[in-house]
Amino acid sequence: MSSSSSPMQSTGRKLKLKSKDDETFEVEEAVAVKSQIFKYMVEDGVSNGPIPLPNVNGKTLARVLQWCQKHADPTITEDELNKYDAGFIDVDQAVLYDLLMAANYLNIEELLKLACMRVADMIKGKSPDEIRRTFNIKNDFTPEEEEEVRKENAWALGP
Amino acid sequence: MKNYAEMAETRLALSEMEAAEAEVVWNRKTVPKVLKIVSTRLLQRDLVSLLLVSPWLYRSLVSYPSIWLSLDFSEMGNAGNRVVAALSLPRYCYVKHIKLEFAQDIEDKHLELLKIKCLDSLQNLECLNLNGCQKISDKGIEAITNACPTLKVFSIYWNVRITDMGIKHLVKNCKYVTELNLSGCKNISDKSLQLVAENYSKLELLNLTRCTKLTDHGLQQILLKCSFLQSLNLYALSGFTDLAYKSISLLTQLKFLDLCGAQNLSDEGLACVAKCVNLVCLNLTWCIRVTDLGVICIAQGCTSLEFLSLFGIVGVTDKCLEALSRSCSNTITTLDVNGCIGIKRRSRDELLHLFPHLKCFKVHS
Repeated sequence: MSSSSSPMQSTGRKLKLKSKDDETFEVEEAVAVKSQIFKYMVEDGVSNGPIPLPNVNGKTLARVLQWCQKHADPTITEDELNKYDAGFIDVDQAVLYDLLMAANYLNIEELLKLACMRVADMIKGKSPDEIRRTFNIKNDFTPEEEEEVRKENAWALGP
Repeated sequence: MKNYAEMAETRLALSEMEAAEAEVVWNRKTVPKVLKIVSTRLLQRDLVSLLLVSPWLYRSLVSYPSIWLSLDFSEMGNAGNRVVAALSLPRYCYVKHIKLEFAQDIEDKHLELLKIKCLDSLQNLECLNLNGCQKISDKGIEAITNACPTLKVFSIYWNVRITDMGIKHLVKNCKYVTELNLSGCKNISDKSLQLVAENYSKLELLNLTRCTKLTDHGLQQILLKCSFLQSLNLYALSGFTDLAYKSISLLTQLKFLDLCGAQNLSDEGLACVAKCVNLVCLNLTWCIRVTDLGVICIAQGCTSLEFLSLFGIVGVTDKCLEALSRSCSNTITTLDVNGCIGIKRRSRDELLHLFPHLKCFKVHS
């Protein structure tokens, strides 16, 4: 939870954001400040021209802002929010990764946690082979290399 | 002019190559980045499984020191050998947390081995959890504390072998301890408290649950010298008296205080506790000498109180609840007045009326 030193007033002011593929977005301050990055900018009064975001593409930014909008809504209940989050994060891997990295870059703790938990769930309890299949990763280990890594880490994996 | 079909074929081959290259970039750049962020939220076993997935994933994960700062052997068998094996790996050379809670087969000899073989990797250790490691004795404590000079948090719950000698080694070797959990270490005496008081003036958390050899004399040393204590747990220590309790008022930073079973605590003693104005959690379960007088002092002094148990105290009445409601109705979320037969109006609804934010009505079972 983010706490500010001064009460957040709904000034109706909007922030302009520009994604790395030059898509522009206008978003209310109260929604944008879900991101710690924007929160500091607003508090420091540095939010005039469009803020360039070279690390986030338009598609992802749109999704992230949609999430922020929902989470800034004071009328929504916790149950509704949980349902929304479950649906929001149920996306294919590429979108999931983009969301995770955008949340990391923009410092949106709750969204980052949501995305991380999703990826963690995809890994939890799986064998290395199962993880490879989930993430579509080829096993480039030679049998000798694999055996060596396995031995090195037997202390963590064994019963 | 090239054959149209040939051109299309070339274009297809190129785009396939691009796609393959994009996939490699996506995998080798994106997946490690994502996993690095996720890894701090993964269980140890899953994190190690990732190492076995592919060589490039192994190499990139091993190159991030920040994801290899914790080792957890909780409840694992053969733990002594496991911890030595793990700490022999270079990626754990900056480890900060080692948890051996209820781990089996960990003995003094393993701690001695760690000191001999893995000394370099222990130079940044901040937290050591030996809860339930009942085979460890003063000897093991001597070895491991000698190897870990930067230790801040030391926990060895339910170990009856450790004596004042072990604490002597701790204070000699580890100068920066801020949290100490000796819950259930029945052989600790006032001598240990003296050592702690003399060496850990910045101590923030101290748990002495069931350390039944302790007397007022030892406790007073702590209260006099550890002025920054925020959490003090004296659960099931019925031997203390007001003589020591009165000095609790010296702990101006105290937020958490457990006095469960303090059968000698009087209203006078409790009035001194009330001077700890930052108290958030107060457990007075079975403090049977306490009456309205003492609790009203708490109500007036500790206006940030969130958690209060008066379980089993028959000498308190509705009066004290009214006083608490006047000053702490905004903050109290846990209140246990089960067994307080002197309080007539203590149904769930009646309590909610006095304390609208109440969520928990039972602490002690």
